[in-house]
Amino acid sequence: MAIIALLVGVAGCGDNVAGTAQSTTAQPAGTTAPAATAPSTTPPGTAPETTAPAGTTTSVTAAPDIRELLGIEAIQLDAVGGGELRPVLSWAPVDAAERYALVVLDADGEPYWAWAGSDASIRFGGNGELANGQVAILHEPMTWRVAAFDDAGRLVAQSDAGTLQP
Amino acid sequence: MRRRIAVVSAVAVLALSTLTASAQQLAAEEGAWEGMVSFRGQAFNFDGTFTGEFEMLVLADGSVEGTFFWSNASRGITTEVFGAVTGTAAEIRFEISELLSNGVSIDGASGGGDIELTFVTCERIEGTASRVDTAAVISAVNWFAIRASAASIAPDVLAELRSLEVLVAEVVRDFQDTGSLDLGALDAVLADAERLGALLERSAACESEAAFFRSLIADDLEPLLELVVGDGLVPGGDVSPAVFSEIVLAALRAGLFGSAGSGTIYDELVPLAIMDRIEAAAASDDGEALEIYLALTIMLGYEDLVQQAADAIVEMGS
Repeated sequence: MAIIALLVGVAGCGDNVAGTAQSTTAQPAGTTAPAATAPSTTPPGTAPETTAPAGTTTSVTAAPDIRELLGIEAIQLDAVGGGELRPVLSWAPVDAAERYALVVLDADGEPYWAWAGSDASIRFGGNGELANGQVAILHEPMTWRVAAFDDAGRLVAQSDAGTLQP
Repeated sequence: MRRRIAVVSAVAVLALSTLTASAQQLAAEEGAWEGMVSFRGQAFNFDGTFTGEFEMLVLADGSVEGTFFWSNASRGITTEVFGAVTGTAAEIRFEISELLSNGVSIDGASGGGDIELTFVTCERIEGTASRVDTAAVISAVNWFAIRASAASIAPDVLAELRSLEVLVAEVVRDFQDTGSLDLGALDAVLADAERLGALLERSAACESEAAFFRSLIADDLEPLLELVVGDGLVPGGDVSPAVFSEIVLAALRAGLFGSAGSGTIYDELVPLAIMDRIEAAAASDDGEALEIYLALTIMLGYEDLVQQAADAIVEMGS
């Protein structure tokens, strides 16, 4: 049952912008359907809610389950104030981290912008001039996540999803 | 079997994409544009890379008028080519009018070619040449233009971009030749492209396209992504999960896929490639690879793949 709960949490990992947890149907262990065609990349938060057998529906915050599964630590994202098209995204440094990866998902849960580097902060759309030129901007509510990797490229930490308001 | 299905799906998507592209003809929007061009030229007295500039005006009736200038200096010979930009907004053409070799006009210089547009927004035009009928052999044409108003705000941006493209080409060539990725160099060119992009204001015509941001070097970076998710062959046969993830993230950062792109084939190919890699990692009990793919799919919001990677990890541990 622990594994079932864990997988339910994994499936609902894509927090939507509003940050509401999703309800999903728990599958019996070992019955994962094979992906016969191109994988669905249904935007998190927009997938139809499925009906669970009585007593098996659960709402979880997924990231802690992922971290439990992998035995990695959490990355604490700093709060981001609203009202900026290109806010600074920052997080608490992770001791073992050599490199961080950051992805921003748009309001539909589609990947919108990414960054990778060794710093523990980056301005939305990239550092440099604070102009709203032809770079990525926070033009709608979005979410962001950060993962940390050690010098051997191993995953060592991952954040929950943070929300961004323009 | 699943690999085969994935490939079939990719081929189907490619075919669909080609149909869509051919059904929708790209055209430059009305207004003044400034741009740069680089290409390889070979003839009896020169063989090298030309760089040049052009300016053109797309009129309300869709016709185009403008001028261009290309040059190359090598082995003591400076070759300069002048001409006109003509045609229509959807079928831009260049016509050579004069060729100088060390300042001396060469008789009979003529010919031209079409610009096949590959990417167009209200702010940016990219393309390559086709149906070239010049005496010289012209290949590897990279054609790029921005709104003249943006170019006047950031007057050195095209020259800076040209320098940057040389660095990007080195990163890509290095990877193509060796299969190893210079992360520091990749980070630097991406950051520099963002710095340049931030200097270019969005014109009034683009105000409604708030999401648009495709990187100035997206086109130059595409071969990198193609090598790991398309039909390209990486030297050595494969790249590590970490390098694969870095390239995918760099591609998203450059707008080669994702919601800020323009609905490219890579929106389909990237998840397919990740799915293949998860399957391969699961088959070989490669837990470290699965962890990286799990982290990548979580960040990209690919829920099915998150489940697939997590299942594989759980299975390995059971």
